[in-house]
Amino acid sequence: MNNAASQSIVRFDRVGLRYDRGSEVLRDIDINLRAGSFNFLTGSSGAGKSSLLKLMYLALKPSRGLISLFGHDIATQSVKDLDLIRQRIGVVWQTFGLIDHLSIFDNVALPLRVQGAEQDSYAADVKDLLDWVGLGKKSHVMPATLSGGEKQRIAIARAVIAKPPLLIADEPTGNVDPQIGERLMRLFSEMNRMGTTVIIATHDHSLFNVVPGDIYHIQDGHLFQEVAT
Amino acid sequence: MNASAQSGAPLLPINHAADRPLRVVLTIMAFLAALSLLGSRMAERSYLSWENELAGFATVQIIVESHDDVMPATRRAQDALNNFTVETVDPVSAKALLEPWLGDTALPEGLVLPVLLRVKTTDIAAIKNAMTPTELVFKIEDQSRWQSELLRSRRAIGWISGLLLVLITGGSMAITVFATQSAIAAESKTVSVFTQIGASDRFIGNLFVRRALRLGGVAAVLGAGLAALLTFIMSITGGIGAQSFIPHFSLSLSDIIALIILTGVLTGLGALAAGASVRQILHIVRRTA
Repeated sequence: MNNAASQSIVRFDRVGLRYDRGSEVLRDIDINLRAGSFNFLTGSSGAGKSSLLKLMYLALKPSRGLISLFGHDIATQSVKDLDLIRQRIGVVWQTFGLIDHLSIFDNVALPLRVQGAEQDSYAADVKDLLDWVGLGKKSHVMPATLSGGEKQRIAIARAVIAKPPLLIADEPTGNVDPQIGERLMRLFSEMNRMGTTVIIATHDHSLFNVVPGDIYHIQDGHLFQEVAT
Repeated sequence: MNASAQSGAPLLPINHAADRPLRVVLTIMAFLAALSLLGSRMAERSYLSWENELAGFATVQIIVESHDDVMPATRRAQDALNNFTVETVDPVSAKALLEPWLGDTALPEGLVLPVLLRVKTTDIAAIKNAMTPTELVFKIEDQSRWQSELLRSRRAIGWISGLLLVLITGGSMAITVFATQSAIAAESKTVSVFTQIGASDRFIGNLFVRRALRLGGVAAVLGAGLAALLTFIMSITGGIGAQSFIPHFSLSLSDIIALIILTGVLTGLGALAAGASVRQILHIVRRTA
């Protein structure tokens, strides 16, 4: 294994999370995602999958423990540095997170605009990616007119357009038919082959057969790594 | 559709219907600010005009007992003051001077108005020395009382106008801050997505600043334009008479330049207030996530 592959992209040490003054929803989470790894996160509804992912993409702060992303302890990073870390993470939200007043082209291009890219430099890439997810002919359409599956694909396209080194997806195939789901998994696999670390939260165990990867199971706020049989 | 033609769309929605009340309020504030500015400039011009008229002259008031005494008294006074430039105020003009106090009601026929001589000097002692040998009953008015009154009025108007401008501008900024906070609340999902994909506070702040610039700029131009138009209409329809103490309406090139500057200041301060407001809110949000 080379250095890049052994490098830790996401590392949690005894991380706990509680909302307000409630009891902990995540307890003593230890996880270490290596660069270039492909990972699945499973668990029943309410087990804490989404909360764990939110900690990974810096939407929440842990109540305790240490989180390190790309080798940086997030507790010691400035707001500006945390923004730069966020720019290196592609996120597919369960609720898609599309912006209603922007066309799907502009939704997909958003991470590149935020990073200051000129529109001439990304227009072709966005168009290609929209073609790839089967929505090239709808690039001018507003999200409200799309089906759940189409929104899902736009959310995925937006998450991967900037070729992030870490991709976090919360139920990315939950709203698409099996054929599209398999195609999206191939996209994730292709990105992973090119070096992107991927973690996917899913209920769908059949995905484990599409792309091999490490499987983590979360139950009652505790995280377990499943051992391949 | 060409892909590149779709990009570059405003990242915050432009909601004309929702923004209309805000635009109306900001326009009214800009209108009031512009009126206040124009009012103070017109008052200043009136002061300078009055000051110019009063400065360098003294008025000699000769008290006469009957109409028959008017001409002899005038001649004796003119002779005595032949070393000065003297202008005799004719009876009609003298009567007109009383109008601001008495209105245009007819004066009693028996009332004898004093003889008024405008002497071009401020040397009151020299006038007194020249007039004393004439044995006429006279009073010398050097206008200093009026000048100090005018100066006091000018200062008061200046302070009031300045205070009004500050209050109206402050009000506009407060309205912009409130509107920006409401806009952030309304666009919380959008802001959250921006934050999550790594947009900096500056990037997000600039979106709201541009929005404030667009809304505030249009409102400031409209408000100032309406104030200028109103002043212009008043100036061509006569407005309040030039004989009055109240300023005469007029619109000069320097007024228009002042209005343009005011427009820029109102727009700029509104945008600054919006930017500061966004950054403050994002700072609070960042502390929790």
